[in-house]
Amino acid sequence: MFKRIAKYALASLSVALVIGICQPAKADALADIKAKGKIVVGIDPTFSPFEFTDSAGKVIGYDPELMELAAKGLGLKVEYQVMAFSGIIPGLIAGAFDVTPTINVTAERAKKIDYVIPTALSVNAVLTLKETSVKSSGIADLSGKKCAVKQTTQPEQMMKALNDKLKAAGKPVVDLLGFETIEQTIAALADKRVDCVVDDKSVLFEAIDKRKDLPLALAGEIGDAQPIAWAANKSTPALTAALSAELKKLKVDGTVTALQKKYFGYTMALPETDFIPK
Amino acid sequence: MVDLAILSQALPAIGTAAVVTVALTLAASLISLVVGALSAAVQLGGGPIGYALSRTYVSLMRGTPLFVQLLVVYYGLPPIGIRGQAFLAAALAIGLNSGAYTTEILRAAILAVPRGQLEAATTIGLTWGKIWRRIVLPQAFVTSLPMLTAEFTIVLKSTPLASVIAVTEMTYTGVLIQSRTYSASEVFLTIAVGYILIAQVLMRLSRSLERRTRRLRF
Repeated sequence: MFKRIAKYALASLSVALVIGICQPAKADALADIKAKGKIVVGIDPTFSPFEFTDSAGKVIGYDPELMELAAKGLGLKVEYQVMAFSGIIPGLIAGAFDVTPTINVTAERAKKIDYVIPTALSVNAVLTLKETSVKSSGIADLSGKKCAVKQTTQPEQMMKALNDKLKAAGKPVVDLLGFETIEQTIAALADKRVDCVVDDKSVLFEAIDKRKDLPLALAGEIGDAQPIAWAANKSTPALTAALSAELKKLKVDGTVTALQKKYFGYTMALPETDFIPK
Repeated sequence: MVDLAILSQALPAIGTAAVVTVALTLAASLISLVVGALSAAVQLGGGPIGYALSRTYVSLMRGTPLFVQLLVVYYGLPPIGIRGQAFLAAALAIGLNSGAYTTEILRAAILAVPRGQLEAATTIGLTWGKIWRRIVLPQAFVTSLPMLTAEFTIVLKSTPLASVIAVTEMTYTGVLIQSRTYSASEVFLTIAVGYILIAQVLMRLSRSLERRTRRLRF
């Protein structure tokens, strides 16, 4: 009996430790950060062109460049803590670093972390060959066509949801072919095994850029845009506000637009209020 | 299809990360061996409290994911001051996790020493301490060597998980390079060879240790 109680006591102790992970960071984070002169950024730089590394291992990309400019505006240096993505949100909540870039804004996450104003919009788009039977990226024009998607990705889920709507309306669905990588979906399009590819717009832009040997064309966007933003710990609202203010300055002076052209090849209008989905 | 230019550019980074992987494997294995030996000893000879402590440790470590253990050791224990020392936290978490398995390996090996030997040793008047030092532990060590080696190769292959607490070891370095160059096969084949080489060194060391200690076998 005692042993059993001891076991449960230890088990609940370990649960308490896990919950202990969720304790807030320091009280006046912005003053602390300014005293140290650096902002610590947790990052998984495996998401080109948003965030990646150069051959010397330096963290680069759209968000790091913006982050360094915003930090400079606050008189701070950026220190990166590079880690796999599954450690990013736990680390942020535990206060292991001050901010992390390139997080999809969701209502669920917004309960646990605070968002700076968005730096990008994630929107899916439809890629076709230049000579194609696909008239537009509208779902009505895709009905009955064959489309390549990467398996178990958000674009695939979105297409399945759109297919449900087509089915309900009694129209032929989009025939979805699942692949592992973007290269495979492009190859299927080039071989005319499919009529189109649906993926994130920035990914498709990069594919067009990398495969100039193929007559690829963007038919247009599809589905709702999802904001992408930097996230900070709930206990540091002053830091979140300061970063939002710096980003607004960088938007006004055209830096954000210039960086979007540099990294994505296109620009996007970013919301500043009410960007967290309900 | 193998792009040698990408590979030669990636090799220095993979090499540096291999050092991290080897160091983490050695540190975690050492912790695993020390903790496992203590835990096995306490379980078999530490009375009911020792037994309960050791069994609880083993079931906690085997019953929770290494991922959670890493986060708990790194973020969950600020009084101990592990936070900010990712390598130490990773070595401790992986070592404590593996220690549970090492406990069981050593316990089985100790129990495998025939009872008759203990009775004979007692009959000729050897003390309890001498029986453990001269009869039980040397034989248990030899018996457990192959399984310990297997356990430490598993430790080697659990090191990539340390990347969630910012330890940039070999696999995550591969992910970083791959996401930049889009050349997954070159990078990950090289890394696979890296793991095979490290595991080979580990296994060869163990084999030679086994040969040297053969005379101790019962």
